Amino acid sequence: MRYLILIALNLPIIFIAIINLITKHKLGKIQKNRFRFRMFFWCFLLIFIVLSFPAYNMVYNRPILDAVDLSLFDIFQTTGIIFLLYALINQRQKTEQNEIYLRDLHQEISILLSENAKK
Amino acid sequence: MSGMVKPLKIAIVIPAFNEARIIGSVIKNLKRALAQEKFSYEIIVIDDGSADDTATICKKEKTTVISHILNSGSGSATATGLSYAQQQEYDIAITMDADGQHDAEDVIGGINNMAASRVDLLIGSRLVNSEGMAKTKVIGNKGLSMLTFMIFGVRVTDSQSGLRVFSKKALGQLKWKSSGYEFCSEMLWRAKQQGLVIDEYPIKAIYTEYSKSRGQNNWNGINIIKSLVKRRLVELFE
Repeated sequence: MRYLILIALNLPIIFIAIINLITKHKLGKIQKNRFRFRMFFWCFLLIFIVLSFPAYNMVYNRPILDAVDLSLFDIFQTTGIIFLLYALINQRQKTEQNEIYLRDLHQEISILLSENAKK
Repeated sequence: MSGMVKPLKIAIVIPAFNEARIIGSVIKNLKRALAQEKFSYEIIVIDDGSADDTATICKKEKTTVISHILNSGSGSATATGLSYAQQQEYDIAITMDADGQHDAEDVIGGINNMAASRVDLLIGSRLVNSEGMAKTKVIGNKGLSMLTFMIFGVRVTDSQSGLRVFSKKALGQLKWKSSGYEFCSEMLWRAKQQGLVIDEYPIKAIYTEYSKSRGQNNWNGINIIKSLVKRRLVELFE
């Protein structure tokens, strides 16, 4: 039951991230290699979440790995981390775009001002 | 007359920050050396938010001055100068330092080299013959060049040289994100990504007490390394 909650909370975030990524790629807003890397990352997370229950069963009876029961706290913590990752990646991209925009703006203004000063 | 070859149009870009003490003589020396040459040229000084009279002195020497509103770093200043050169459709652009480190003859040598070859980015290397360069600077520069190769896969002897020559193709395609001194290495990486041809030619390094106190030092090199590693990790699969 707890694993269903884990999947139910995290899958929507991962699906939104993947759809967002595909949209950016189709609109030409992201380079091919960066798209591939991020797609691989989100798909890996998706598989990890979906297969967490069978993976847990595999490690549960192995003394060396000593896995404990998944708690509700663990579920919310995992969901929080995945959500923050998604937000962080998007924010970083926006910050980078703003930096480039501001720098180009500063450049163009400086050139225009110097050309006006020449006249 | 048909078939007449137009003289090359050259842009000489000099990013400058608080160089009022020396910029006047740098420009005078440059003009004296260029007076013998057949190409038409424009000297463009990018005043990167200087607090002294750098811009006023350059205007007195009848050069084009583009003044940054805010101090943005040598990478940004160089980008502004090259962007201007591209907008004005220059055939070749060359960047040089404002602190008197570069010999005007090497500037002309770079232009002639570029005009005679199919290279897109030509770097003046101080390390082919490092006579006159302080040992600490030689070690620092060799270290950064080695790191540039390890991080970006671009092999040059002097990755931090400010004397660089750009073809028209490079002017149109070469863009970088760094605004500080780390742009020297990033530029090489971007050139490699764009498939531009990179080459080097030997130049002299003129070190006076003044020029030794300017530019990069080995402590700043640590910041440069941090920025380069961060840049590479962030764009790991590009």
